[in-house]
Amino acid sequence: MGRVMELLDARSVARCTAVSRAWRGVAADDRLWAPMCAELMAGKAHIPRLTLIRTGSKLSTYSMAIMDGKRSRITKEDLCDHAWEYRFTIAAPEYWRNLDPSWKHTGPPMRRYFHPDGYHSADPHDAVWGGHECTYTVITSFVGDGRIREHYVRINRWPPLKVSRKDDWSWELSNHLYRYNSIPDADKKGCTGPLFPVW
Amino acid sequence: MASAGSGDEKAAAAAMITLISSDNEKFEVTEATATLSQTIRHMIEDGCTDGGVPLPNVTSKILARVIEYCKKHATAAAGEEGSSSSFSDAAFLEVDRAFLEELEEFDDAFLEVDRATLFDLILAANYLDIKGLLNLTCQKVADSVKGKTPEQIREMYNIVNDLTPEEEAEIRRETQWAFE
Repeated sequence: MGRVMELLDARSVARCTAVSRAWRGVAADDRLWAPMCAELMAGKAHIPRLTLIRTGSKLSTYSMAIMDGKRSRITKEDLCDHAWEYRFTIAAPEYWRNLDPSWKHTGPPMRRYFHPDGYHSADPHDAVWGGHECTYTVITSFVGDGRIREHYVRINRWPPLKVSRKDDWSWELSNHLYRYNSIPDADKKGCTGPLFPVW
Repeated sequence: MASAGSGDEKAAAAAMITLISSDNEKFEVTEATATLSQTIRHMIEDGCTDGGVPLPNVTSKILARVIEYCKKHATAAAGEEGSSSSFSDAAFLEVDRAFLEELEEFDDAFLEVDRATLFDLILAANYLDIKGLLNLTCQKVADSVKGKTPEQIREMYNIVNDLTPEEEAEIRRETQWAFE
């Protein structure tokens, strides 16, 4: 039966684990899931810290990674673990766009950083950065039954940043004026993001 | 299936091997047919096939089907070798293609068996180490399971769910993503 499982996609094998005890024994085998984990992580921008938990089987690692990859609710860990590229949108005033090297093709995009103490910063000599005090907040509002009504990141009192996720598990924060993209760091030691499931 | 005997006639002079099923039925096959099984090939190489090869894990019903498969595929293999010298490349390719199509049709028809037989064939192919047959039968089962829910799989293969409700709930919670 192990050979049959090798011919199946991850979703079908995962379903087989719920058929019976014997099927679970075959379909939940680490030897089957280890290569599938490797395949899942290949080419991703970020590797969830959850996948480092040693107690789990390879199947649970795979499941954690899938669930974390679907998560669209951003945490402070996600913000702080990654460096972010910062670009103005076409809707931004020309004066700002002219200061953005990614618009002018004069250099790499500007970078922004989120810090665990709530501060937000840029690189030295950043043309747009005004040297002002800058803080961020992650805001999540719930409706009565626990569903999320609104979820956004706010820097100072500026327009809220909508949170979205791409197929390679990278993040995007955006409003009509500018956008933040998490910089791929799959090789980062210790991985990134929250250590506990937050979905 | 109709041409199952042609391999024998061609290789009538070749050494014959006797296979003995678990219920003591004897099957005479050519060496070319028998050696599709790596297990039997090794026995022949070790010279321990005199007096027949006992296969205590395979019933006569399943062994007959396995031999049917091996005869067809041994014929196909011999045909390919034989034709390569006497045909031009283009003609050879044409014959080759026809052979493969016929073989594919044979494989499809061969797999039209009930689920229990299919599983027995997998076990026999695994024990006898017949790679082609193992791949063929495993792929058939894989195709039947693909995209199905656990309930559908249980129904299809008459499997009794011996997981406790708590265990099943836990498994489904963990693999929630596979059910969305």
